[in-house]
Amino acid sequence: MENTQPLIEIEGLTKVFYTDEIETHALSGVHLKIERGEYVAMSGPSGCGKSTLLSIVGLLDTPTAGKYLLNGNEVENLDFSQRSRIRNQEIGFIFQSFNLIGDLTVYENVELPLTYRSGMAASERKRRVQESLERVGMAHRMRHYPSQLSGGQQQRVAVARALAGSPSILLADEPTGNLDSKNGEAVMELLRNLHREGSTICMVTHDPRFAAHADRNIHLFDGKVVSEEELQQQLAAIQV
Amino acid sequence: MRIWLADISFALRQLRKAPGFALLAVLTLGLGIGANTAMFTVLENVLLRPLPYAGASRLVAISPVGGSMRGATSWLNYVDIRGGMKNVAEAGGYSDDFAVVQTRDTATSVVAPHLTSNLLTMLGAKPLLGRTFTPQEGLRGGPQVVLLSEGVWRQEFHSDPSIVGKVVHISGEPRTVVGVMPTSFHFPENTGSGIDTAVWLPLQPTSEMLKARGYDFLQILAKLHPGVSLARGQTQLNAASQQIGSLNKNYRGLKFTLMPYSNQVVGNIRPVLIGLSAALLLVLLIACANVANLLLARAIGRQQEFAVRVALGAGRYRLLRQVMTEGAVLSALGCMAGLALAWLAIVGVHRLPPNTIPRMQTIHIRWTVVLALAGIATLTTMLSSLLPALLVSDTDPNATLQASSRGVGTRSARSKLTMWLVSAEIALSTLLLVGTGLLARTMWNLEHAWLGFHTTRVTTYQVTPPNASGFSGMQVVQPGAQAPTSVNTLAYEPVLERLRHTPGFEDAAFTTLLPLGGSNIRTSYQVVGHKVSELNAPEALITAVSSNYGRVMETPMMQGRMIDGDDAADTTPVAVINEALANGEFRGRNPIGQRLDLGGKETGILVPPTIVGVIANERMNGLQSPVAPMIMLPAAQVPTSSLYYEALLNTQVNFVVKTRGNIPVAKEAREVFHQVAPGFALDSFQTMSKVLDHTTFHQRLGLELTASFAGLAILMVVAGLFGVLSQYVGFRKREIGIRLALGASRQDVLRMVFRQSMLMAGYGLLCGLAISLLASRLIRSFLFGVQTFDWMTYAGVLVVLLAVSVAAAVWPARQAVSVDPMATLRMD
Repeated sequence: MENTQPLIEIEGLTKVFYTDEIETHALSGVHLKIERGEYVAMSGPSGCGKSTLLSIVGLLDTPTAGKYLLNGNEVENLDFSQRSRIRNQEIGFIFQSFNLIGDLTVYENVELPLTYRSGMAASERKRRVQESLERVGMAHRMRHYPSQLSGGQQQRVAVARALAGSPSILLADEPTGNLDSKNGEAVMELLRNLHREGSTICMVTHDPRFAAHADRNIHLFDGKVVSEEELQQQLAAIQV
Repeated sequence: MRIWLADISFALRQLRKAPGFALLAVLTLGLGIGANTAMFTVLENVLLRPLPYAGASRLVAISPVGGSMRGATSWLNYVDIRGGMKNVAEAGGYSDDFAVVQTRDTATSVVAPHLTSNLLTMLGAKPLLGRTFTPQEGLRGGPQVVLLSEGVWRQEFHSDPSIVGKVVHISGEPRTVVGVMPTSFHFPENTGSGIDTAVWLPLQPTSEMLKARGYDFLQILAKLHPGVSLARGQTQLNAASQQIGSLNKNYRGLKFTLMPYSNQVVGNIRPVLIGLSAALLLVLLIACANVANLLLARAIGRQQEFAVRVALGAGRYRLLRQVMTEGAVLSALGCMAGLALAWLAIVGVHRLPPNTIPRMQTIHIRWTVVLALAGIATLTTMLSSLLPALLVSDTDPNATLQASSRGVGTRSARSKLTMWLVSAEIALSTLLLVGTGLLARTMWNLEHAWLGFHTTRVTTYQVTPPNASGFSGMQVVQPGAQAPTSVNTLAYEPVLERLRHTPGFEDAAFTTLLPLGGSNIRTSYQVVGHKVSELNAPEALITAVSSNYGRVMETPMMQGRMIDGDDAADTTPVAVINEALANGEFRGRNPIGQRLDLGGKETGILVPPTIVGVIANERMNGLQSPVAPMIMLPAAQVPTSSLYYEALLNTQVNFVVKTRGNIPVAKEAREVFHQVAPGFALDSFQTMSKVLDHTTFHQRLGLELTASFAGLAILMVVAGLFGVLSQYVGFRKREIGIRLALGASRQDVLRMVFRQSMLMAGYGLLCGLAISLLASRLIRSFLFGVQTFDWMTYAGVLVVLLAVSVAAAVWPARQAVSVDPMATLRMD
């Protein structure tokens, strides 16, 4: 039977940061649903809370209030180790600055999330790593170190690493932010292909060209999800 | 010059900015430098500094090859050698002895070396008051004179300014004071602090000395004429020895050897000091590695600054100089701290028991030490700053200034280097810990070794008759002359009787050779019926004991019976021998009933005593020396007309009292002597456990010093590991954040940090254990009952260092698991 439940369901999510007795509301009552196989782009001006939202979606952070269902399970109140386990199995991260580990080879970097899974055989890890690298076209560089690769190649390896664990969703935080336009396009093409093959992707970007690649665009402003029109009005009001 | 000053000023500013780093580095260097400075001070005084005598470098000690009595020979041999060597050297002689200084109120036993009359002039010794000895005072029957030490002059004679010319009583004889020697005069060296309150007597040959070539009591000291080499001196000495052999058929083959007097003074302490210096050098190396690591960490943290400097045109040399200046400033501050610590350490050295280190009294920090300190500072600067300086001078400004090129992880030579440095520290610490472990096992073995007697509740003290003539005045009473009544009969036996009935005292006895006492009175002997030539006659320690000695010391009998109260002057002379003599001399034959010829008319023992028992070996000269053969005579049977009477009984003897609990003995013992035998000097009250402690003092000192060095090293290793791991976690924060983001659990992160610590420890341990296996042979001579490869020690060291590595990793590991992945990833 097909699972018709949304992959991600967020209701009334708020996140407040407390610094020197000042409350900063990074997110204020965010509602969001992401279906399986969807390609969602999140955009908004700097400081609107998109990265905070992505962190909470990625279980790197916890909300101050609100509800978060991942695969139908409540995950907002899990402890550190439970969140680690879900992150490892359900979520694949792609970062702006690639975040590959310089001491590890391409192969070892891609294998890394699999090594945190208990009980996975080495042969299975090897198969998955090779498969992931082939999907991003980097299998021929598996013995190289990150410093021996170009930025675009490093980001491809980072995508392979995110794919290796067969996650439910890929979370990409400004994946083209550190790349030139040619390499940026290539990475976006890669994500588009992955989406075509069935991956669920949630990408944070402030570049409308890349946001256009997604099925749906979510706009954030002052910690709230707003429509395209509302966003334009708010931005215009600021300019006035 | 201004640029140098600017560098120094900048270096000081940098240190002010990071007070924690500065304090840690200065303390680390201070400990390393201080300990090394203190050790160099001792080395300089003991091994390098010339003895305080005129022409000290030409002074040589002459001793018989294979001889006994610590290189002593007879008066007759001395005279012949002096004559035979007069073309190449001037020779004198001395014998270690003691005497009793009597004043109106007290009788005090003091060190009293007997010197040939020319010796002080030969040494260039200058008295504080009066003069030294004249040639007449060294003749048989010459004037009875004495030279007082400043200590005796001040303590016993209240610094009497007109003491010279006055008559004082030394061992019952009136002697005229001819001079007072200053406190700086310590001849013979190695006598210990007793020399500060000594008296020196002129050696006047007795009739025994003039007729017995086998009467070995005299140490010969010669001063080679300027330009005469040791080899030429030895050649001349060989000729003189041959001459002695050719004129005396019993002494054919007699050989003498000469060695610089300074070598004889330094004696066994040289390898100890060199070993300790090597251990301290390891501590200094560890300190340098630690500071190098701290500087490296600082250099990595200041990469941006150095890149800016290079971008602004600073050359490789300029960067090198700046980092080296910072290292030099640290070393200079470390030196100041080190000097203060060294001063404290030298204060400690002066509190060590007397005679622990030769020439201890003269150990002070001198300008040579300050020079050495400057050398050590340069060395530490080079060792600790050169590596960081070389790495900094290699800075690539382009890569560093481009923030985007910032790598994640530690794939840099600098980080690897810091880890190798810590591994090296662990390797050096392993060496120190293995040394400590082996010495600790030695100490345990020494303290639990079977001594041949029990020390429990036994107190000993020395008793000296007021008229004790010392070893240098021994003579056989001529036939027909009236033999004196034995001090044993007059004093010791009645005293023992009283002591045995004193409340709290279980038993009492005396012996002339105290186990572990270090005395070395020997005699040659022949087994009646198995005579050999005089030169080849076997030697054994000789002692006289009272009845009950075996009972007080609880020394087991292996065969026959012990000397008892029935062995009186008018019964058959008997002897008890120890196992070493029984096994060596009789080899399976039954020694009981055999008789020992102890010299007959020459020594005054006219009737050879019959062996009636074999006693277990008692350790007489420390635990590591082999047990020497020993002959034990009943004190009551030592004829007062014999040489043995003066050597054994009418001299210092050792009383041993077994108490019923741990109660003091001195007050009661003095009281009994005061009533029964007034005028006798009683000194050196101590329990036998204390005597044992003194015997093992060098090992214990070595152990305590090495253990403290190892402790210091471990502290530094902990600091080093902690620093490197904290740095490791700091540099890998982003990586840890990524790992956590990818699903690593806290256990995974903990494992990562501990694995790094274990890797460093593992490499260090591996190298350290391998080096230890090779280097432990160097301390083999200090070990007792333990092999250089003692697996328990090695396993212990392994456990300790692994535990230390785990402990040092705890805090950095906590820091690692507290990394917030979101916060670190936001640093993009």
